[in-house]
Amino acid sequence: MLTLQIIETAYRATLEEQDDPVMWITHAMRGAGAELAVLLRGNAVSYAVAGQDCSGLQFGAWKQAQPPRLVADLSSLLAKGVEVLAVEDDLVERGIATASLTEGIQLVARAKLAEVLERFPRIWHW
Amino acid sequence: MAALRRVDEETAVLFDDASALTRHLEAEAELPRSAPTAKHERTSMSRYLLIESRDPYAGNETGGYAALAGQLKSAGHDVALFLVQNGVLPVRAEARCAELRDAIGARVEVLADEFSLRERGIDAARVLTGVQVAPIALVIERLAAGWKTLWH
Amino acid sequence: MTKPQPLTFVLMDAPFESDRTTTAFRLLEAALEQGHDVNVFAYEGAVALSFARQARHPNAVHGRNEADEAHPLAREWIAALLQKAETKSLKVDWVNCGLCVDERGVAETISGVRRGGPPDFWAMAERAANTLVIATR
Repeated sequence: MLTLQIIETAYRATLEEQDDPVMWITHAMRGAGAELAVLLRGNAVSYAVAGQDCSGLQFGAWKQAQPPRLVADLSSLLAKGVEVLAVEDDLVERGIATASLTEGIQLVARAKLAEVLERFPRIWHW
Repeated sequence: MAALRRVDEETAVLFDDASALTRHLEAEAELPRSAPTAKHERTSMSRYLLIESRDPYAGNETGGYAALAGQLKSAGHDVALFLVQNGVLPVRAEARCAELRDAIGARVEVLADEFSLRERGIDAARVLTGVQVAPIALVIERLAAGWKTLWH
Repeated sequence: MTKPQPLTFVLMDAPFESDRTTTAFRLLEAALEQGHDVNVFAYEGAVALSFARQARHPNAVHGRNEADEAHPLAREWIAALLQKAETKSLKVDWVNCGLCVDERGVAETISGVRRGGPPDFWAMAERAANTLVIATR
C-alpha cells in the first residue's frame, strides 16, 4: 500500500547515526519493495538544502570517518522512485531559497496539505 | 382541447382532447426515470484521527495538528483531534489557544484524553465547550475502524 | 464473531525519556483489551525497552527502599502485556530493530521479543488493519 512518510524532526542524532533514521528506514523499506513517498515539513525541509557539510567531528583521537550525507540520501531516494515533497511555507519561514534545494523536490503549500494527504491510503508521521 | 402544465413550467402542452392527454401521461409513466443529479457530487471522504501530544505553548516548531484538522475538515473529511499528554494543556475554558478554538469552530471532533487531564489537574467538567473527554481506548477503536491515524 | 484484526505500532523512544512511552503502552494495553493481536516494531531507542538488565533502585528522595519504590521497568511492562496476550489467546509480536540493538548494546532482552528489521516492519504494517507510528522528537 502506498505510504506517505512525513518527516518533521531534523538533525536528531544524525551525527551519531550517520544518517537520518527515518530516511534510513525509508530506504530500507524501499529496498524491500515498499511503495513510499516522503513529505518534509517543519525543520526537516532543511534536509533538501544542497551543500550541507558536517565533516570533521572529532573527540580526542576519535575522528568520524563517515559523516551523514543527508542530501545525498534524499537524492538517492528520488533515484529509487520515491516522490519527495517539501512544505513551501516551512522553507519560506526558515529563509531557505528554493534555488538552494537539491533537484527533484516538489513543493507543496501548507494550505494544500489536505489534498496531499488524500493521495495516500496510509500516512506515517515521524 | 386539453392542456397539461407542470408547476415548474411556464407554458402548457396542448392536446386535442382529454384522451390524448391521458395517453401522453400513460406513455410518460412507462419511460425510465432519469436519476436526479446532485449539484455537488460527494466524492469519497476520508476519516482522519490526528493525535496531538504537544502543547502550543512550548515553541512548537510547525504548529500543531489543530490547524491541519481544520483544513481537512474544510475539505469535507471526517476529522477527530485527540489531545493527549501535554496536548491537553490548552483545553481549560480559560486557556488561550486560537488554533484549538478555530478547530472547534470548524466542527472538528475534539477529544481530550481523560487520563492526561487528570494527570495535569484539569477539571474535566471545566474544559472548553466543544471538547469531549474520552478514554484512550477510543484511539484503538478508530484505528481498528480504519481511520488514517497520525501522531504529532 | 469475527476476531479483530491486528494492529501495528512503531515506537522510537528509549525508556525513561518521554511521556510517549507510557502513552504507547496504554495503547497496547487497550488494543489487547479490545481483542487485537498487536505488532510492535521497536526502532532506535525503543529497542532498550526490552533490555533484560533494567534494574530497580531505592529512592532516598522519596524515602523509599527498593521494594517500596517499586520503580516501573519497561521490560516488566512488556512482560505483562505478553502475559495478558497469552491469557486472552492473543499474540504480541515485539520486534526490535537489530541494527539499533547492536548500536546500543542491548541485545540481552527478556524472552518473548525478537530481533528483526525494516522488512519485518513493512510486513507487520501490510498484515495489520492499521499502523500507528509514535515517533521520537
